[in-house]
Amino acid sequence: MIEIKNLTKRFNNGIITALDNISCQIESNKITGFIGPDGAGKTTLLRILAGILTPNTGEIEISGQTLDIYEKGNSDFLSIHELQKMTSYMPQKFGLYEDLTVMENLELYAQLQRLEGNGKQQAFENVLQMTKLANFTNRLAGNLSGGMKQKLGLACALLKKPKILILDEPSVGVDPISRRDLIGMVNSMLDEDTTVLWSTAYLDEAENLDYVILLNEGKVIFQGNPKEAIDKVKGRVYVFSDVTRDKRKFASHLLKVDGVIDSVIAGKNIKILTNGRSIQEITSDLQDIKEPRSALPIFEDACIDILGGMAEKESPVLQYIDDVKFSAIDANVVEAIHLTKRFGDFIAVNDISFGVKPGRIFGLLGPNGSGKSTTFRMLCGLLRQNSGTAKIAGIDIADMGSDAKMNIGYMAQKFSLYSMLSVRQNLDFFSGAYRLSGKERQNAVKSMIEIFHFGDIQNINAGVLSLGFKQRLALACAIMHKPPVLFLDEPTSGVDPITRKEFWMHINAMVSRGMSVVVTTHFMDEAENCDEIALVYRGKMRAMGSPDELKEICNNEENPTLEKAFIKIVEVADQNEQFTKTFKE
Amino acid sequence: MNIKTVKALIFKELKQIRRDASSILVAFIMPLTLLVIFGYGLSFDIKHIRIDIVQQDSGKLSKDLVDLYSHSEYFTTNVVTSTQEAKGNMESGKTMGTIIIPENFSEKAQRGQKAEIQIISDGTDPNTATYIEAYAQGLFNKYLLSLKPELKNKTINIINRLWFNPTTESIHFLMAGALTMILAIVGTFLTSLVVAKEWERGTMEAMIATPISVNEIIVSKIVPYFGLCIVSLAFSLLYGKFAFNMPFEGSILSMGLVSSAFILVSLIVGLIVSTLAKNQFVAGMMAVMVTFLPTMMLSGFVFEIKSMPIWLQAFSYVFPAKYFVSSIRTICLVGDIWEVILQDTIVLSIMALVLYKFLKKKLRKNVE
Repeated sequence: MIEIKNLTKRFNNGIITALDNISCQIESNKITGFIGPDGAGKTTLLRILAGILTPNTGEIEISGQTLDIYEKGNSDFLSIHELQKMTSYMPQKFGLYEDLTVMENLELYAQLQRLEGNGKQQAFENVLQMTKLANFTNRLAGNLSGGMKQKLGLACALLKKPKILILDEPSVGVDPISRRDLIGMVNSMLDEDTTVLWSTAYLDEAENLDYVILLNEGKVIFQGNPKEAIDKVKGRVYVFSDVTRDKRKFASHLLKVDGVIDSVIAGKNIKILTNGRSIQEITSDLQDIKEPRSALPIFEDACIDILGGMAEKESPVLQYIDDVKFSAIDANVVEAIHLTKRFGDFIAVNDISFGVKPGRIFGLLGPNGSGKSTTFRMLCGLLRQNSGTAKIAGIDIADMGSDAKMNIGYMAQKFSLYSMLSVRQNLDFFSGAYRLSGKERQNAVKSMIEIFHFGDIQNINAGVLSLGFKQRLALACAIMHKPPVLFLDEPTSGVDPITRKEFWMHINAMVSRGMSVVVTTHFMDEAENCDEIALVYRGKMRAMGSPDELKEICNNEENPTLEKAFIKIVEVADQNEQFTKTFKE
Repeated sequence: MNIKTVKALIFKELKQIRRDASSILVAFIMPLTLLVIFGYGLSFDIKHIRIDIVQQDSGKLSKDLVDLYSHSEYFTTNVVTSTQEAKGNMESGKTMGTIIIPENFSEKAQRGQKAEIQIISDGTDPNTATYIEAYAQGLFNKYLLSLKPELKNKTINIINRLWFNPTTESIHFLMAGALTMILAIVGTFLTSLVVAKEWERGTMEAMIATPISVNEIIVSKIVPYFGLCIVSLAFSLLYGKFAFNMPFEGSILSMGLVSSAFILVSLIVGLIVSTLAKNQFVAGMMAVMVTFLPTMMLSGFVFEIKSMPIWLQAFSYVFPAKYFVSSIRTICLVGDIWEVILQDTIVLSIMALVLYKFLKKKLRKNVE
């Protein structure tokens, strides 16, 4: 058991507080999840526990013995060296040597953990069997897929059965199947003697864990069994199914009803979370609707409840964006026609075609490295395709002048604003770059400050903002010129659940004004907001349709979700490829 | 220190070196390139300067003189008949100088009268102009001597001026500097990059979370790259010997001794740089700043330290390259002068020790 008492860690001479007086308990024989958005303090905490970072204040006790975390050399304390002997730590970037083979990596880590003789052979057999990597022992680690790399990283950490296993975001960028395997591997090694720490930014992962510590901005906002948290919101989640009227307007209308603290679009359904007010009272003022049915809450609902629900009931973007009119209502606003992109021998995008209708959200879904971002970059003209055409409003991107480019808004995956300029200066700059001038420009900057609540921070340099505010600023800069077409590349990756919801509220508001949005994401629940989804895997389009159509793929399961559909599609694709390979051989 | 762990890490490093084309590039191709550049490009002897000879005299003696100039390796000559043409060539930059052999030159010379030639050089490049003047005059004096050996005593002072640029090939002198540069780069640059790469890829983070000790980390990095540096040095010496006929008057023992000390210093500096930077780009820039530039400027390899201001001279003592250049020059050109070699080796060893202490203080098992 690990007990953490009043741990505080500051960086940059105290400007940034990564951990703010944190206290929590981590029990053995359980997987303890550290859950929170990027910058919440997960990695800092895990590094301190791995003995490779020194906190400013606070104490750590391991099985009742105080850890000599400040390396004072007190003999009553547990030394860092002793701690590291019983700990296995897998950092976020796996810690694998990409230019060594699978076996060479295992050999090296076995030696680093002082593992020798029979025990070593036994351990190798164990982990190779568990990871199904036995057939790949001679392959360079750099040539493994993301999921396999993650498994190998875990295998290296599990060679010597550790008393404390620390895994920093083991599931990031891993497809859902590998994610399931990873949790299985860790579960299989649990016993009275083992403590497992698992950090993640995905809220849905919490439900597979025994105990979670929810972190936000360096503070613990919840700790306990995730099921307890979910129990608290039981009976407060309702689903309106088969919404026939404009689902976006209806969802935003529901949020304004007293007692509703969250309202989410899920395909053709709308899910709400109440503050405890009875559903009869909530629906009493609504006309001609089907009776909503009660639904099981998920951990995210519990988090939203803990965080106090949605602060804003309606997106102020609605007031800023004017209705967008397209001349031809049926024409595709964005079109990909047989797009193909090669990097050397590697085909990143292989003959992908689709069209986006005006006033719709089109989602590109796929695991990291699947080709979705490459497709996305070709669509907005940031990358030149090898063959095929990308069109926006009927114009080939290649022939597009800078006037036509004014019709596009683009938000990059990585923070791409000027970090040494203040929030206001960034807004000023981008309003100028998008050729706004005079009153219009002043109004744009002023509106963005109001909409995204930049008031108090407008003179702070963008580089030191929290990730949530950075993303908000990036979105503001992308929409201030009111583009009819908006490209968003993983806009919500790494932000807290409330900010994520806020983002989708804004996106839905813009779309209800007639704007068209192309978005990439790897959050399955976010994909539910899309009107149409294209699933990209290993460079090829594997499936396309509305969220409900995609869920049909796994309709033999009792509770079809996008995630299950996704797993199915990927499995089928892998099988087919395996088959073709075998066939060719 | 656990020998098995260190051994495993060293083997890991060797495998990585073998598989990573860029370390082979830095260790072998770069020394080759540097040697070729220094060998051929940075020679201080100016040769094959293009000049015109305006031959207005048709006598035998003037022909001899033209022969002498055109066979000299210092000039590439072209015989023209008019001064106008030569002037045009100089103006357009085709030639850097002109030698005019006036009418009646042979006649005057034969009669024992004062025979003169005119040397014109392009003053826009004063350096080259000086060379042309000196070479041309020197050759002319040589010519006069061959005509009248009894004049020898009178012209001896002029001969001295001719030899102001020693025929000792400057390339041998520069080669010592090139070797220093190569070792500094392979040692510091390569190690700083590989360690920074480990920080970037997260492998260092994983490693320091194991029970490994700081000494084990340092030793496992130093041993393989020390080996690589020795191989690179041997390769460079052999290449210098066969391609540029570089002398090697000393012994392998003295060379090994002083080189080992210098390589150790370079490797430790590389480890310090990457510990401070943890990022390949910054580490690379820092490595260039602390090794390449001082080696070039302040080691006495290209620029004479004695002609620098006193404070800069004092500053030059800080840089290890200065000691290595001094020893390696002695070993290659003079022989085993143990006074020099031991003194330099001791200074370098002390530097290595001090830097190692500093490295141990900085390279903590901590990500901050």
